[in-house]
Amino acid sequence: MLRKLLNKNISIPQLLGYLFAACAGMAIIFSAFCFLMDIRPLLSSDRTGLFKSEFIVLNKRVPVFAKNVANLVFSDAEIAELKEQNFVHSLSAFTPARYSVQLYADRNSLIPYGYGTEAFFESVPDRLLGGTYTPWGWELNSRLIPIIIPRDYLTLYNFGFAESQGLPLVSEAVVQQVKFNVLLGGNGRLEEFSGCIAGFSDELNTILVPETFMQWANSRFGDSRQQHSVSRLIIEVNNPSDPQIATFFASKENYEINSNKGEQGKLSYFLTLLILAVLTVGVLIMLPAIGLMLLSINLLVYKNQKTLGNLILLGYTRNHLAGPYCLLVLLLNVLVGSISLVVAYMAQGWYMVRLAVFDLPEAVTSFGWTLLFALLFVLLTSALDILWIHRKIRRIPIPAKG
Amino acid sequence: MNSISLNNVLPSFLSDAPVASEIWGRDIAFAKGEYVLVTAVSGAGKSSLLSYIFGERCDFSGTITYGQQPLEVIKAKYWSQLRSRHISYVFQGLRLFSDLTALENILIKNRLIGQKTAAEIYAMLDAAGLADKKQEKAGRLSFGQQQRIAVIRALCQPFDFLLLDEPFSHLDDANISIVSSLIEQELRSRGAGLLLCSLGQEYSFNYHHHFKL
Repeated sequence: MLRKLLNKNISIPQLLGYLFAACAGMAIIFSAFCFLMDIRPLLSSDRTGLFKSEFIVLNKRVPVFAKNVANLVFSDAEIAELKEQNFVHSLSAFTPARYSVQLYADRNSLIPYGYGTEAFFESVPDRLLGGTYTPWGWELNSRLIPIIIPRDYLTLYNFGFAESQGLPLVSEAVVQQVKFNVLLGGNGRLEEFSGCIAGFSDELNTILVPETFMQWANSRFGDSRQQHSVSRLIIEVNNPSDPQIATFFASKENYEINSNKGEQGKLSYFLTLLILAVLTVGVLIMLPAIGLMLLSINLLVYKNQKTLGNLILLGYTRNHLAGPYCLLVLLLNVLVGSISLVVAYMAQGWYMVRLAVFDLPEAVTSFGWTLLFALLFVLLTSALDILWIHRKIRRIPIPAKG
Repeated sequence: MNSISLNNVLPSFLSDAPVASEIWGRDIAFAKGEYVLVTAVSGAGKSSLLSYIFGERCDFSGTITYGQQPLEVIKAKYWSQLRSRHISYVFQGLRLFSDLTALENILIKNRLIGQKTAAEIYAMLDAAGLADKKQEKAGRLSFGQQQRIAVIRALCQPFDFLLLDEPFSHLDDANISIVSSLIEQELRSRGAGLLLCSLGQEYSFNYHHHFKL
């Protein structure tokens, strides 16, 4: 009965207008949010980044005729100069292996028996690694050496070597299951260890082993007479966007810093910008839709003002009268939210197939976040509408004192 | 609520209290259980007086006190309580919803508190000669029939005071008698007070006070 009275003058075309506009706006917003959640691992440095925070890898440029390796080594004075720079937070060196390394396939390994290669190891201080690699670290007497290899190696194998040789393609997960043998030699000793791939790096073109292992192995197999020289440095910077960094390295012609991170940062930046632009478009559609809803509420309350006034005089509270309208907008917004979520879900299904190559985490997880976001969005929109309804109904003129 | 007091109430359309008025600009109290008749010629402010008491209008000076509570301290949310539990009002303009049926117009009031059962409402409609008009849209009823619906609607709530604004203006004597006895019965069962405004007609109530506006 009350609903019959209050629903009078509801404009179906206006509600349909809101439904379509809000569906379009919300679907774009939810899809963009879902996409952002899905590709978040690509944008952050957590996945591809080797280090837990912002670092610069520094080495000297190799000249055309590098007669003397000493030219590539940083002197104590040069290191001291670097340490004095304001942008430098800490400075560490790569430790090279002073022994020979051979990797070869185990009889029980997934790699065909007989495959083997000479290799080299380097290490960086463990504290610089983000802790995202498992297993990492090494204990005395352990025969298993965890190794981090450049991701490019796997790409080279999959798309260069394996394809041309008719060998099977392997994913990162499969490679991490593979065990192989490591033969270390030097100082009159030759010992066999097991190796496993603990992770992949996009930033460092080197094969990393835990620092503790390197120290132990260098002392056991290394030539103690060999001078320890520093040819590659890792600089932890206070603020990666500090212009002093660019100025300083521009003045050092023979210094070379890794630019990979910068390029990746730019791509991430543009991708984020693109998603933000799409989100903005969604918001720009959503704003007039919300405006349309608020105007519709205005008009509805205005048209039903006499009825609402009479109901108030009969003893109905204003909250009571706002109830059916609040329920209506809530149902409408839930409907809009649900339709938009279905659209976002379908969009996710469409692009996830195309992004499968990036080895992204489960789509279900990011859709869970989108669901939560959608719930909050619908609740906020509804809260705005409901506040507006209460405000309008509170202002129906029954000029009672007090 | 045991009383409604008017202290020096004067509508804004009057600059000074008329000498002859026994209400405007005076201190008067209406007690629960008492029947009061207010008579005046057209335009003297009968409807205004009831609107002021009912909180429908506030274009007056002076104070109205409900029990111990002056009107000024009654917050908006308490008005609904006052209107649904303590004061019932048959408006001169009736304020029925023309799109609702006669029965729905009564039920929309009754459902607020659930004062009457369906059988009681049907009995009142029968007594008022409206048994066959229950499902008729209120807008299609005659003004006399609408007046009777409005009175029955006003009786479908608890009240301490019943305000009637020329309630029988379009009723014949037979219907006035029937509706008056319905009202009398409800007043007695609640021990409520009556405040009836008319152009001069007294009807059949035994008034305790008679004021000229």
